[in-house]
Amino acid sequence: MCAGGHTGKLAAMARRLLIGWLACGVAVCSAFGAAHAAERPHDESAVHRGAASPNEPAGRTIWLRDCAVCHGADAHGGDGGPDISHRGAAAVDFMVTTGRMPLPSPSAELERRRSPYTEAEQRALIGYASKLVTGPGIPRVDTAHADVSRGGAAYRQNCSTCHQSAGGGGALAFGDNAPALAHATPTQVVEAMRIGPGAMPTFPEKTISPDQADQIAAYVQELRHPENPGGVALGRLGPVPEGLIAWVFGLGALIVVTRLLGRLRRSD
Amino acid sequence: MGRRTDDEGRPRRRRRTLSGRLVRGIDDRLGAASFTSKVLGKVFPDHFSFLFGEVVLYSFIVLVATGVYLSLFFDPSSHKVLYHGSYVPLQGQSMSAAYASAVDLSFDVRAGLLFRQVHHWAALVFMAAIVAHVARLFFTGAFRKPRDLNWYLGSTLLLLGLANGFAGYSLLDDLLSGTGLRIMWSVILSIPFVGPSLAFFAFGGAFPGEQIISRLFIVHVLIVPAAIAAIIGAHLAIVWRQKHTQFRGPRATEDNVVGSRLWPAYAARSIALLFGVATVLVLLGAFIQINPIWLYGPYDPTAATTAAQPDWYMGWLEGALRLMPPGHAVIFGVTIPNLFFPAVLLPGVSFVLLYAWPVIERRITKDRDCHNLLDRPRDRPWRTGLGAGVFTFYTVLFVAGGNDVLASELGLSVNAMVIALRVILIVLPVLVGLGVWKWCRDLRRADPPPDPETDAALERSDVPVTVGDDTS
Amino acid sequence: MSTDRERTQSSSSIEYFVAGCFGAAIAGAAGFAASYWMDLGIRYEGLSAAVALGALTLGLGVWANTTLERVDVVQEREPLGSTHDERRDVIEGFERGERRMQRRRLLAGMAGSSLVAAALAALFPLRSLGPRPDHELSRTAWRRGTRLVDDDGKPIRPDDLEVGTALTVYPEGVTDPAQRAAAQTVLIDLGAAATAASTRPDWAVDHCIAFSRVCTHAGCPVGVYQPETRQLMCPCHQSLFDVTDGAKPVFGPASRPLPHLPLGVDDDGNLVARGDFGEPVGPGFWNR
Repeated sequence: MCAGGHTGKLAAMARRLLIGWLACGVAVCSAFGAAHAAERPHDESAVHRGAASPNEPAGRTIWLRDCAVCHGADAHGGDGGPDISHRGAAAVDFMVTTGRMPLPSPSAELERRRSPYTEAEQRALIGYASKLVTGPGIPRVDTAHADVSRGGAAYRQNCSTCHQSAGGGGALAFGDNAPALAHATPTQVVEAMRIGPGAMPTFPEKTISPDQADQIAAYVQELRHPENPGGVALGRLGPVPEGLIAWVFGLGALIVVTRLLGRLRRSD
Repeated sequence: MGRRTDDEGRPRRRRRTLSGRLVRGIDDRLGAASFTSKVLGKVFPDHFSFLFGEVVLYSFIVLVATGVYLSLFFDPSSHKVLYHGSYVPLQGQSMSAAYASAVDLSFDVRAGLLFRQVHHWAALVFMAAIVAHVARLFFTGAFRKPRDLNWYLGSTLLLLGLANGFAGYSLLDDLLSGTGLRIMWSVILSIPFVGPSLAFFAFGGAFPGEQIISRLFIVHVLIVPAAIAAIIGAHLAIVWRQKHTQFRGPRATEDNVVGSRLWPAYAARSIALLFGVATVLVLLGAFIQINPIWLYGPYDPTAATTAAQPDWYMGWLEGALRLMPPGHAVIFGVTIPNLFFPAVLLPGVSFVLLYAWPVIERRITKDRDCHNLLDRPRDRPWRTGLGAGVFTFYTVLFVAGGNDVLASELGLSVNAMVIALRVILIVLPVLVGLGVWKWCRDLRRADPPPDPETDAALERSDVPVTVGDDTS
Repeated sequence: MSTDRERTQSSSSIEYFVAGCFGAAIAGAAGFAASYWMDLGIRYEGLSAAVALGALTLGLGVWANTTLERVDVVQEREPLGSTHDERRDVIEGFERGERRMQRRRLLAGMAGSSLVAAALAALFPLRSLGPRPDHELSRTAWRRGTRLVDDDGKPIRPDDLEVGTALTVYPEGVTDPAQRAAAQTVLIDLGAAATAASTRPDWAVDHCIAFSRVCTHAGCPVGVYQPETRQLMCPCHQSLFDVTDGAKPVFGPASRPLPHLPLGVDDDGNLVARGDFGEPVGPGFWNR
């Protein structure tokens, strides 16, 4: 067999194998990326939905139009909606700024969405609704002077069991989810601790002090902008994607290499 | 001293080359020249799947090389220290010296993170390559006499590899691997009669104790690697002695080996594969993050994280733990906890069956002959089907091991997944096994196994063939 | 079949390629040394090392598969087993030695026994590895009157919690990590449902109820509390415990409820334990 023909065959085989294996790897990565993107909440910049007339008390208008139908005009509950009169301004602020409220439909999941309100509308609504309710106020969170290392320790004691070590979120029972923290602002982090939205327990001030809450919020900000010195982070989900990569890119690549070095068929 | 004259009485000329001097020097001391010429001339068949075992071997070499480097920096101590390295979110935190030294390796030792990541990727690929290698052996019937001996050695290597991998990533004493150690403690505890004693002996007291990290270190860097190296040596010596198997083909018979000589082609290819393995592992270690222990934090028995999985090769056990329905047994007053069944009984039975497979197949087929020719998977539909079914069973367990990550990423209920996977675990292996069995039979009908008479007709070939004399 | 000239040309171009690969390997090695020396970081160090190793792979691989001999060689296998006569010699030689030993039955027997005795005796130092399991498996550090404290050592009052709070608490004064690990407790504020939830009604105080936090399946901390469903979930294997029904397992592999800590209140209004857990904490063992 002439050497030239041999390398031609090798090259063609190598091309085919490399393409096949790369396609496999891309498919795996896309699957993970797509799942993550689907989960990743929408951009927080709001969309205009008809500006309120500057003379109207905008907050009240929005409340009566969008919220009272479920929560009642006085926030004491209404047709299909819970009584939120004791949930506090923290709850209102949290739900509105994360876009959890208003629900697109009564059966929709309580999860972070792009808010239909502009920032001004949000402020107006929160300002109005806060006067209707009693309970935890909007917390003042200072992460600039918070000890992020203590925050990490407190996060691991209280939060990682649901939200995962790297803030990637996790599965709870029966389809519930502890969401990923990639878009949580410091204020929202502390608000969530105090009000316990959805499936989350509450962490009142006597259990996590305001200083500790600041520290945890600071650590969550750290998690939002991770260092990842090791390279591609694979969603920081741990051994599951790492195992997949070891098989697809590790062993897969090496099988390609053995195909190139060894023989293809039994009787070449 | 070599002979001064050759067979006809003429004086020999001494070669002045380096190889000449080397061979003479060694032969004067060891008398190894004739053995060496057999070594150089030994023929190895060339199928690419025969290289999987070498991939395992070379991954092991990378593991040892990177591992030795890491062991020069790692501090296997449970003693508590305060962290003062360069990773800010852990500043001032209390942690074991082991964990602190691992974080130091990652951030404050130049190229330390590269070595750590290459080492860990190498471990994952090492185990994956073993699975590929075992699959190749199984589906081609390479485990039949006389190679059942090597099958037993190889099964031991698989077991040791699992143990060493677990010990290795548990050394770092981070939250993720510490959770795994906690589960391992409970598994040992669940063994009837001896469980509590074994657990207390292994850990030097109640969980977590102060001893486990330094004990795991000795297991991981000395005891198990030495055993693995010794068994690999025996494994390779046996392959050498028995010569490698080969597929049927023109010129290939039960009584010969068709391939290339060790020197220079096969050796060059083999060394190329060594560098190829190292290349892939270094690329993984340089560009894809693995085991970011600084995010998990130091181990604390009162802390936990969701998405807690062991490394992939333990995933089948993790899946078994998650899918096991509740309930425990009480026999004559002895409690057998729920954990015993998926964590002790299942792997016990699995490994007994793995070891015993050559014996089992011999009983089924009544075939006690030696075999040097391999089957095509389609040539033994029942074995291939059975293997496919078993493979599916363990794959479902692996998927179950990651069920909370899958549920979270795909937006499913983890409880629904558990119930669904329990059903799939029973049903899918049977379906796959039967389907593959049928497929093999269909393939055989379409493409019957090679016929010796046809092979003889194919003897003419334009590939130069030399017949070698082998007495090694 | 190509001409000799074509063959020489393609083989010399292959040689250049292989030489180029080895040259690239040298460059990669130099790159690695340089990037390490200048502390350029893992990406450059790894890439240059990979270039060196990959070039070596490619060079050797192409060289082996093209210009080095690539012909099929046939080598005969010798039969693996020895001849009948050789085997007979081995067996007879072995049995001859055996017979000589068995002439002195007593010596042979005693030789065997002494070897067995030595082997058994050598196992004894393994006992030093660890203590015997004792009450540590069945009891924790909780005693009657021990105050509940949080992670920072602060005592807890029932009013510190709100409905839906699940707090991790420990016995006051316990610092040993093993004891803390075993004694860790989850204190839950259930509101009015607390008293009904306790399997021993007098073990809940005000609206607070406490269970062991060590999962009865495999020992992970049961850290996930979902107030909407009043269930505790273990993140390791997704066992689910119904807090309103004595923390009985309702899903997953756990088979036993979480042990219950009897609560009381001391004179200062702080929560205290009124004794140890009702049963051993954590996963099962044979004589539990």
